[in-house]
Amino acid sequence: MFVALGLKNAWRNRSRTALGIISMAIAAMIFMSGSTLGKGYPARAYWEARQMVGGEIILIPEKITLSTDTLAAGGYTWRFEKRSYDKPTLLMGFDSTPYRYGFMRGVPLDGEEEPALTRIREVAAELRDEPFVAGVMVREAMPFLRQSRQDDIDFYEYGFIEPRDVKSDRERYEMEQAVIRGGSQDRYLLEGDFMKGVDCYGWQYRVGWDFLLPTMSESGYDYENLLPVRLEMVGTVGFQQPFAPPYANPVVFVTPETFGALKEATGIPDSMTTWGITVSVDNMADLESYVSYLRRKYPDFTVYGIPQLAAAMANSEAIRSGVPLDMRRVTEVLSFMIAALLSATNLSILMMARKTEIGILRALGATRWNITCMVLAESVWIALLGALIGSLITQPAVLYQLLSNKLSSETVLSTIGAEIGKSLGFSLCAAVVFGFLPVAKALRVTPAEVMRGE
Amino acid sequence: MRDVIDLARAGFRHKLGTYLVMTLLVAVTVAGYLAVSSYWADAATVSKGKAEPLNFPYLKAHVVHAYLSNPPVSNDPEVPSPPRKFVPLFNDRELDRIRKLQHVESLSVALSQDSFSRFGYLEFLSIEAGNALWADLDLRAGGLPQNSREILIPDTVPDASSYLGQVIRVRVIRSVFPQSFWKHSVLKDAPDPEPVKDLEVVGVYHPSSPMLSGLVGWLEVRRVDDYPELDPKEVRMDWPVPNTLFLKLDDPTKAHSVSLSWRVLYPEMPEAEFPMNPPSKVEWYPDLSETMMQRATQEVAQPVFANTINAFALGAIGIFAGMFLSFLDRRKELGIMKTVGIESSKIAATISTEVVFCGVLGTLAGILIAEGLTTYYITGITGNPIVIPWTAVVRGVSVAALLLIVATYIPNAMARQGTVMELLHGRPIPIVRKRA
Repeated sequence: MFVALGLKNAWRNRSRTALGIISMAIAAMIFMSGSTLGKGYPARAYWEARQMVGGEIILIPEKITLSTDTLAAGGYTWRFEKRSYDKPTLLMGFDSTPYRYGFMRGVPLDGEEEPALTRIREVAAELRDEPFVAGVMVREAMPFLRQSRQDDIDFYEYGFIEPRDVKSDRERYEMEQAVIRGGSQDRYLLEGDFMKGVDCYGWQYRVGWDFLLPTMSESGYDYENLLPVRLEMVGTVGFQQPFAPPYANPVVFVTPETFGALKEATGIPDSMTTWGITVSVDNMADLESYVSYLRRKYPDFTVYGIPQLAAAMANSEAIRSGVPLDMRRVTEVLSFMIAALLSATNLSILMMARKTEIGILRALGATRWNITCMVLAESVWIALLGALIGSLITQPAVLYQLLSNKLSSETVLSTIGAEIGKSLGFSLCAAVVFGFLPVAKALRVTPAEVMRGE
Repeated sequence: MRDVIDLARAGFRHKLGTYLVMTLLVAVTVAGYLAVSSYWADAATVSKGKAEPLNFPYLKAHVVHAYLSNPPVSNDPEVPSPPRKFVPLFNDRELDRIRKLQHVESLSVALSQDSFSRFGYLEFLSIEAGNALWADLDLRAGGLPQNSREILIPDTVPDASSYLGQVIRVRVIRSVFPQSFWKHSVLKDAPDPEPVKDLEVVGVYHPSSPMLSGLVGWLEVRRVDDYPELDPKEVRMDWPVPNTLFLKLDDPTKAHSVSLSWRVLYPEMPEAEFPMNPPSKVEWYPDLSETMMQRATQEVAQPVFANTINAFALGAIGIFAGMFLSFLDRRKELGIMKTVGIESSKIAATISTEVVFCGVLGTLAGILIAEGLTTYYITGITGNPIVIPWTAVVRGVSVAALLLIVATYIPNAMARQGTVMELLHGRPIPIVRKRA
């Protein structure tokens, strides 16, 4: 009966109840955003950037971002450098700052850097065994110069050649759809294409067919003895996202066979061309969790998720050089505490207004436990209803994210069920813990006080 | 005033539990803020300490060859704007203005290009003959270039001395990326008419800093007297067009102040849009490494900052709740005070005094708790003891004060606005009352 009375009381003070419910709903929304939506993205998110890279996560075998772990563990001196055009990567198209201005690179204190190629191959092999990984590619690139002429003046342009996993590009990243139609070169690479290439639309200049490749000398790339090479360009790909600049690089994509032949002709070893690893994942809904996991597992690598790169490009700023601390759990708990505090304040005020009513109930024989039940029922009811509403409001976005990634119905149901359960559980705990403040106030009321009109 | 303090003291004693909770909330919030901010200040110091200094007492700036120099434009549309006048930067008068800035010891003019040679990719920096920068090159073998066909190479090139006297072929490219600063569209870069250069190696130097570590060549001194044409369609400088200035500083720690003075030097450009600094430039400071590391630490710490704000919000709500309940409990008491003639302002002052007492007590307790935490329980990110900076204490106290003002505004206003009848009979009290 006293539980029903609590619920009735909540109904009688609808405006204050609504305030409590709204604050709890907001807390639940923050919780659901952090615990589900914050972990990843819908299946087609950042699609153009993923097409250009041919992966969702990039691992670079050097220390160029700072994290709490790096600060705590130490072991590095940080040096300002300008990235060399001898080491092109696809990151150039997202953030050119390291090439035009400079960046900080962590150099091991003992001065010994493990040969990057060995480490890259070792990590790539380990990554292939990870359950969430759908594809791994060791990435390579080779710079080239190209001679052009404009207004009777000769000049050189710079670019680079990248081998692509054509099967993955066609099947997973639908690269054929990124090909710009309208000319005679209107297709993407086919497996086995030899000495054929595809260039990237959106750079400040278009690359042609004739390239000057560096050869090798004892000090590295030798641009004095260049090797002229002709590649047949079969198409141009463009990665234009709506209302934003296109993702582009001065790059020519070729098949691994072509790239191998170019390396052989120039005598350039793998150690010069290999720059990192890209990882493809099937489930974008957990992408941020995978990125965090890889950052922890490979502290000697810099791990970027595609959204981080796309954000830098969209905002025309450098890729963040610090890895923000993951404070989602703290935020979630704080939001619930704020909501519960609001709810407790509301209830306390209500208890004071109902002093007479509580006094009469006590005079009629209601025990302290009955009063506690009545107050807590109201508090719990408000909290649960708020949490449920907040959780339900976020469900369309959560469902879209999970279903777009083609996760099994069992996984979707268990994820949603678990998150709603946690949200309700948190709100219940908050309601009970913070409900004791109004309970204590209510229990202090005695029938004698009420009779005396105090 | 004494009455107010007495009343406040009595009120404080009467509602000791509520005020104790409020004091604790303030204390915990302030302590949390101080501990977190000191922790991150320590992390920033550590990260700055791990940055390798640039060892380059220069302010390096990429600049354009001319700038727009117009008098202020009137806001009145009736007043016609004056014609656009461009002033050459590579002009002795202009360069002297920059050279005379405080803390600038000398000024060197150079041309920076991206070059590709048998040594791979290297920056190719051509310095004007006779400039002070030459004297700071740590020459290890050979001599300095005497004409534009001669270069120095860094000793980072394997077996560098063996190239002395040899001619190497250098290819320079058009910029890969668009320039990163705003440039007026009429300013045109004359392209290098000689993209392939055969240059003789005449010396080897040791790069003391990553800021000057590539090929070093000789640049012909060129100056432009004036661009007389008003509203020009194109402002061009004949090749070679310098694009870099090196300002040697007598005190490298003053680099940012020099940069500011440089901006102030050109006040006649009111219509120049940010980030067009006169003349448009991109700068590298001597403390660049430390600054970039500090920025990275700030990025790591950003979520902590957001959560500290959340914690403050939590504290504010708690204090508001406490104050509001305390006010409701004491409505009759306040009503009686008004009945016996105590002014509303004095009643409000009484409540304020109680809150100030809580705030002061809570802040002091918070500082003590933070001191205790940082002395005995929390160590820095690398295990160093943490010191709470006084600036953090000042910020913490200010935030706590603000928090108390915000949280107690409504109860305070209600105590001031409430009439005797409203207070005694528990009727609703408006926060703002319209006076006739």
